[in-house]
Amino acid sequence: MARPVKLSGELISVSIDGRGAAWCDGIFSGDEEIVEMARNASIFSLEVDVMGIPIQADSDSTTGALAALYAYSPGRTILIQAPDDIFDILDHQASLDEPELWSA
Amino acid sequence: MCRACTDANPRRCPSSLGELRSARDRSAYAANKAAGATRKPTKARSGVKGGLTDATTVEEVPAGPVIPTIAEVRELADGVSDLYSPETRHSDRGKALIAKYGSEDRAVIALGDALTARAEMHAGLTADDISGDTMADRLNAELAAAGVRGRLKLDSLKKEMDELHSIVKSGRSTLTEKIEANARRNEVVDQYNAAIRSAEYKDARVQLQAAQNGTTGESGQKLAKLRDGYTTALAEVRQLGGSLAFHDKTAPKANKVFNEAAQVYPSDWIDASNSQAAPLAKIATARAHYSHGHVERTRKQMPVSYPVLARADEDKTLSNDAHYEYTRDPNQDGVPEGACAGSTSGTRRRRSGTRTPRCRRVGDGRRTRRSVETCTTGARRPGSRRSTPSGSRRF
Repeated sequence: MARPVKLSGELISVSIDGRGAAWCDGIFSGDEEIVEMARNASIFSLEVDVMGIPIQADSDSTTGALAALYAYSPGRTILIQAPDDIFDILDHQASLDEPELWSA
Repeated sequence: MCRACTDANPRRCPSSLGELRSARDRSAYAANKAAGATRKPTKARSGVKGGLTDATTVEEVPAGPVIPTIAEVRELADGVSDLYSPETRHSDRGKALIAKYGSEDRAVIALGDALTARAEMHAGLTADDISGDTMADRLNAELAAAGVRGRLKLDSLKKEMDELHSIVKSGRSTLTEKIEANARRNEVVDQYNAAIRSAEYKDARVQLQAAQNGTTGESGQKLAKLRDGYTTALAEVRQLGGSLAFHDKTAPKANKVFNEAAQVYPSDWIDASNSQAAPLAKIATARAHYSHGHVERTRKQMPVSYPVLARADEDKTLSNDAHYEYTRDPNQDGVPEGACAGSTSGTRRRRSGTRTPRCRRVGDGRRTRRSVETCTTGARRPGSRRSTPSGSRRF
């Protein structure tokens, strides 16, 4: 029996110099270079600096996928779409002091 | 893992599951949307106050006709440096910058705009002024190159070469056909080679390359002006240039080329590079190799100072001259007791006078051309083996 697939339907999309990439339920799509980098980052659990917070990239969690999408060019990445909690954390400067919020 | 439905235990490919297909479609759609987000901003989410996350604020980055002063650009640059340093990230200046621009990235973009404004002020023209000219130059050069290719019939010759080659290599061709095709192919190859070696084709290629690099005509001069403007604007904010230290084996030509390029790099980068092992710079046409912090080894013979057996009243500094195997001592007339005379097989010999009665001792223990056994007085070098007497047995 195959393992049941658990899908949350959460979506993250970013734009890097006019090129787009997105993640949804473990699947990266979009610009080939960004997606390849995101996949490699998630495979090797690369630690990526997302707006000053080091996060381990992976393809299963929302924060990990965010880090994977940021891995291609952290300084040029613009976050377009993400779950509200990620937006809330990013928008409040005070939350940048609490990296433990991102370790989920 | 998927197995065909004709197998005993069939299993569908997981990627064909409806949920995953849906996820793939959704992410592809979102990626496409994100690609156009910066070009045509749409309100991604309401209630977000500025910040990197709101695509609508991309257009709000200050730029334009107001040319900032040097002090303003420097302050902005220092503030951006604070933002990207872990120690000063939350300093007052950093917080003020975030409050003004919304995020670190916006601040960097604002700094870039300020620098661009100053560079274009120094150059006296903008990038938009010359983009049309450079594009026209490139188009003209490409058209000229295409015309030359057409006149020389390069494309038709190449096509014929390919067809003949396929006949020669084909298994269906008879031997006679192959021989004829091969002979004809050799003629075509000669024609093609003559065409691409012609001066006309070479000129067209050089001009096309120059147009692509932006180094030709009026647009090239304008680009050079703009480049100088950017260098000046960057030098206002940060000290540029310096002298890169290279290994002794680096050729002067390579040293010059690299140091010319280094003049547009920040001085602190050059200082940091100089604090490491001196790299070897080469001008190469093949691929380059770089190994960070690599210590270049050399077989070059470095000068070695040879200590000599000298008398107490002798000037011992003479013996440190590494370029002469013998030191000259005019006050010394004869062979002193305990010293030996060296052989005359050295590369440098005294022109006249008596030989310096002194035996050279080799500091690093290597065998030298003048061996101790040639000494006539019987004195030997410390540590050297005595010659074995004839008839004695050695173990």
